[in-house]
Amino acid sequence: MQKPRPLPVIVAVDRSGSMGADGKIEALNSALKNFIASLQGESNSKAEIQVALYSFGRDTATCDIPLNPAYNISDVPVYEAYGCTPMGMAFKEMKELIENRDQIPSRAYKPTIVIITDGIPTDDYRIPMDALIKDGRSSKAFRMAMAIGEDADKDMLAEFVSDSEFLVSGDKARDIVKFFKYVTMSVTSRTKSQSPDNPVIPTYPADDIIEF
Amino acid sequence: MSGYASIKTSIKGDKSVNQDAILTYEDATLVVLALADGLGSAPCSEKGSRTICRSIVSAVRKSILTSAPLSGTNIVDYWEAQLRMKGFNPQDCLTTSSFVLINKKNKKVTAAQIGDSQIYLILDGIFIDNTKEKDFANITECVGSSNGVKYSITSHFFENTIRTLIASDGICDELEPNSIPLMADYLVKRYSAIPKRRRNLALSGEVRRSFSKRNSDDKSMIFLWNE
Repeated sequence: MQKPRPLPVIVAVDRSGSMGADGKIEALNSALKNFIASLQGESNSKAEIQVALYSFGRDTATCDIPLNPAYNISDVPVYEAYGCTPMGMAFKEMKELIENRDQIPSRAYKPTIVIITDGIPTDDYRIPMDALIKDGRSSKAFRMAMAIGEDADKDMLAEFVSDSEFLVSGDKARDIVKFFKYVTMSVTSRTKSQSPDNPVIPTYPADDIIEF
Repeated sequence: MSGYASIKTSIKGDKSVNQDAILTYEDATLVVLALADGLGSAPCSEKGSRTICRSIVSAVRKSILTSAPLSGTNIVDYWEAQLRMKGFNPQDCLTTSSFVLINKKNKKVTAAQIGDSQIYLILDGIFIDNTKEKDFANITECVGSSNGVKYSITSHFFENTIRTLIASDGICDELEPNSIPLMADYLVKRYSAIPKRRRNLALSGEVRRSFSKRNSDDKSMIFLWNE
């Protein structure tokens, strides 16, 4: 029997100093843990969800979870907010991963790239971002983003995402949790779809408002 | 074909129509081998695959008659115009396209591809694998897609011998590329021994027998060698 096709989900999160304000980094840590847990039971005979996690902060971008089936991931990092926003370095790292056919073979479904940030890139992001979104096989990935707060570079993120519906803005820590639910819905609906490479734009989850 | 021999077949899979198309053409200066595999997701892809093969031959002939340069863009434009003239929307007729042009005079071989039908060349005994790997699953580059896809074109010269195989994915998905030179030896030996008028029928029978029952794709191939 043929093995399920990999469905890569590549996440890059901002751990710069500004994420330390208003409980954002704590919300991010909690949402990441729930996000990965929610994907762990969603692989099926057709698609195996694989996750890679990158972060950018201080003066560098790091790969904190190499691409792995979601069900194999047991340790999710707990981030501390510190330093600059070297987003360009994260774009470069993600590009290298997607172009590597040993890591992501041709039989894989299109990857989903997710970026979450509350700031403006502090490095030269233009060339690596263009390489990621315009050149080679990485240009075919679905790209989603969350802009947290007023200081996020929304113009840059609007250019980054593959559809305007995939750019989400938020200003509270709980919006980070909602965003990851949205990403989960998008990814899991692809695993259940007859054509997982057709764009799936789920409805953004409503606030859990209790009317009384 | 004078100096050149070819065998070809196109066999319907388990769909109601054969979405593949093949066409060969030869004149005093050129040999053209064209193969197309209509996309199953497009409702009229069999029209697209047949029309692109005819468009290739028409564009080549026009280029010879008028000395105008031949380009992939011209071929695709001609394909679109032909489909629209017959009342079809090109978006409903998506197809892959592969073709080989052989200039008999200067012995130049040009191989052109859009999509995952494969072209293999063995020139003077040297195997050239033009296999294009897909980026991801379920992404097939095709003629008629809106993202301006273009033919990937390579050119080579040969001195003495040429063998070339074009095959749709119904066949090439089951072939190990490294075994193509051995398969070419076998095809030359076997089909040279069969009278020309019976070769294509014999090939169709052999393809039907050789491929696994689970392979429900249309299966098409053209194989050429010089005698």
